[in-house]
Amino acid sequence: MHIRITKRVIVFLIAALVIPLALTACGVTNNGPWGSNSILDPYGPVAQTTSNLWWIIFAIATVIEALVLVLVVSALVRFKRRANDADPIQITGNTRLEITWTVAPAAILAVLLVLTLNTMITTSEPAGTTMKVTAAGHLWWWEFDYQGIGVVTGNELHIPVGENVHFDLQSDNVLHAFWVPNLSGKRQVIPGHNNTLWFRADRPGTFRGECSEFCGAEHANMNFIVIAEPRAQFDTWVKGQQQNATSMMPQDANANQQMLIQQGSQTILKQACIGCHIINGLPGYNVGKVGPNLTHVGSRKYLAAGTLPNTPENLARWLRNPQEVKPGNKMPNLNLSEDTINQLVAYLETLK
Amino acid sequence: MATVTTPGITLVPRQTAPRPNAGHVIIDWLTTGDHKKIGIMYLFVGIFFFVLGGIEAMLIRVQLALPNGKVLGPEVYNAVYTMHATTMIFLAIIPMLAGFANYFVPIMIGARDMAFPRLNAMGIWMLVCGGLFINSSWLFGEAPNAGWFAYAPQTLPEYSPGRNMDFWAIGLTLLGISSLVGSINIIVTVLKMRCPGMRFNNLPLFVWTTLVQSFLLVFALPSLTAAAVFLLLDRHLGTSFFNAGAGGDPLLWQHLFWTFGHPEVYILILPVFGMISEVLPVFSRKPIFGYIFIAWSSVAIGFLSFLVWAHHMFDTGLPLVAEAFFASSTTLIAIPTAVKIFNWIATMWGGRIVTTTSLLFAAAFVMMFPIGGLSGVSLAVVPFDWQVTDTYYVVAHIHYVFFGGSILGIFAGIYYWFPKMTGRMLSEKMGVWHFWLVFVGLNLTFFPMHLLGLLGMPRRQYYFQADKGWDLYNFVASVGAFVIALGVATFLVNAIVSLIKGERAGADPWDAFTLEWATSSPPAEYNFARTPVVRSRRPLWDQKHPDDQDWMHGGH
Repeated sequence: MHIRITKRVIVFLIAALVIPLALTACGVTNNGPWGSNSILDPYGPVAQTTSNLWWIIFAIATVIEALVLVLVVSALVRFKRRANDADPIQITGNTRLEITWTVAPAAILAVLLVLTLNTMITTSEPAGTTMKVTAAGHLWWWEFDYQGIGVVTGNELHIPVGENVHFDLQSDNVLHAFWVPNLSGKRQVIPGHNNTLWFRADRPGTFRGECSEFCGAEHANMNFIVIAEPRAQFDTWVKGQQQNATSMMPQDANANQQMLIQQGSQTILKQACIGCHIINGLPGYNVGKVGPNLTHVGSRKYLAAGTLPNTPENLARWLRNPQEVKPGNKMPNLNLSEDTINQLVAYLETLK
Repeated sequence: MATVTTPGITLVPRQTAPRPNAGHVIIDWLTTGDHKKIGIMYLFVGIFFFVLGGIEAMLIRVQLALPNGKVLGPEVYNAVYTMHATTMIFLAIIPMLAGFANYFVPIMIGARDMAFPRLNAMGIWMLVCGGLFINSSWLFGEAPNAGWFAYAPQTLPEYSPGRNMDFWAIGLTLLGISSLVGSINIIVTVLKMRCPGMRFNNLPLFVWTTLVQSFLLVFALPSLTAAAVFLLLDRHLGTSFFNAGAGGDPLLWQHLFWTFGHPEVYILILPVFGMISEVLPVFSRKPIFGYIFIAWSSVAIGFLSFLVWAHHMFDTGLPLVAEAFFASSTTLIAIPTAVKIFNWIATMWGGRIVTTTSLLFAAAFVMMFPIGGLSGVSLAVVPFDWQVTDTYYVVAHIHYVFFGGSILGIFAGIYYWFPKMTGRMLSEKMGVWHFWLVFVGLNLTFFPMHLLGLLGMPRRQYYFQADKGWDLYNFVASVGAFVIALGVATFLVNAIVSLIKGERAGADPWDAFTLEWATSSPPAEYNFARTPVVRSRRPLWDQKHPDDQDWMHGGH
């Protein structure tokens, strides 16, 4: 087995190595307004270790695949049959060669396995994590309940930079999977199982989380965001979240807006929202479990589990007909009048 | 020398019976027990459903070509992606492989038919019924819609109140019966009906790998059938195998399903390994390199494939020790697979390669399948699997295995054996077009999906938002899908045109090595006028080279 290194082979080898490398390198630095969601753009130790591991796998795989491509293509070129060629020597095998190419992959795989097991151990949860959050997968949104501090949010998770966070994953419906690519791998959320996960963000940032186990009609619209912020900022946020719903009148609100907000704060007491949502501090709004807690809905960046950016226009669109925005979701079209919608939007957006 | 018995090469003249009328022909095909007719029907059914599954794939790629796709709503999309996978796996690839197995296993071992012709007929008609049954769900607007692995509790009545998953569970049970009787038939045929001299050490590798595949089916299918029955009981008789609220466990489904589901992957690829091992030697004009290794590594893969199922479940929170075990077994199974690649390359190396379309597909298989194999190894790296499982990275992986592997291999097999089955050659000119369209298309479609996975795109989402950075690769993938579709269309045209006016093939157009080429094309109903007797792995080579027969130098 002697490979003649021709120019063609060299060009091919370089192309085979460079093209996927270049593609992957460009491919993984894509930035959207969400920030990059790439698993290769790690912000914490778990994702960082995994990302390092990937680059090792990728290098090995690229070399092996390039070797295969070069060998096959050069065989096709070099050993192409020409007219009147006699049959070649009838070789049936070569024990030494076959042992070599059994042992070589075995050795590479053994190294990978050791790295794998080692990483599994080094990324398992350290003892003594104090910050614990119950992440519950609902149809189709996430509820985050900060254990022991009375903060419950929907689809938006704040965490302090540099601190380990432990998650208890709960579902009382179907399977989901909890995943923040920039911070760690995913874990299925399984009814009847108490799965857990941990991660830490070492730098501040805003990351996207996704449900990544098929969960029915609106699986695609079951996102959340994670905001990693310095401890002081986080504490301020927690304090705010612990308050009852407070309508924060915007300073630049004109008379009309003020009137709408005022009306909204009354209208909401008469609406069906009460059946499915909790708004701490509003009379009667303490039983709904179907939809997210709305106590601080105005402070959130997205609506309907990452489906729409949280703007007055989008909130109005949602209230006008949630089924148009997120077909099949659990919030029916309530056939609200435009007046009601305007009042509710004005009010809800002030719940910071 | 003179005493050497060569295979039954007496070419059987085509029968000159009076031309039968259409009614007779139809009745004959409906009632036949002839393994060759049944094989052709399997292939026909497989290709039909391959096209149907392909149309479903095109709908998916149209929906995802641009962000905020509006072509399909969520419910329809979920049904389409579920049926795409179910159709391709159970109704396209398995039947096509069963078709080749039915047609060629008996001929390659010098037998006149399968051991149980009527059981064989039952297999094909069960398949047809099962396929029609599952797909009839479209007519009721209740196509299965919970993914091809149908995870509970999504499939329980509370979350799937329609009949969708009933169609799936009952349909798959029917298809399971079809595969089960087919496999038993193959096993008995290979064990009991080999011609004199056809020792296991002489079996063509396609027969070897099909035999292993049949054992896998026999042992893996019961798990799927049990799971499907449990599901039906949960859905209709109020049991709670999978209902956590009533003492069941949704995780049980995953174990039962993947106990079937991982051997299933090898069920879909092992016979293709065999086809490649037939095609490469003939067109390289050399024997297969390392026969013993290829045969026995297939057996090893067969055993190991029952020990790796939980690598589909690394993200379910299994104990660390269990994950370490399945990471190890998965790493282990990569070895016999990796080595085959080098055996195939060595088969071509030093040969005199005749670059037919069949050879091109086989060589492309050797280049593309390792991409799926290598990404498979990366998925055994547990922490990395936690990141990319259930993303498009896995979608890319399975498509390099099933398309870059199984489908490319099946195309190699079709171009190789079409002349034997029909008596006519496929057009090489159209074949080369077919090859390049499919080869380019598959890489355009599936390579970017690796990147989408790394970029955090979960699978099974019916649309994606423009601000997530996934636009470009999805668009490229969709363009690639159209290129593949064009390639497959070229193939269909080629098959139809060649069937009508293709060049006559003759008994042995490729100057091949194995017994199927020792009889006419297509073979008479009884395959061989006299039972052949073989002395090596390449009976036809021996016959054509009386002074240089394989068995003479201690070879096989």
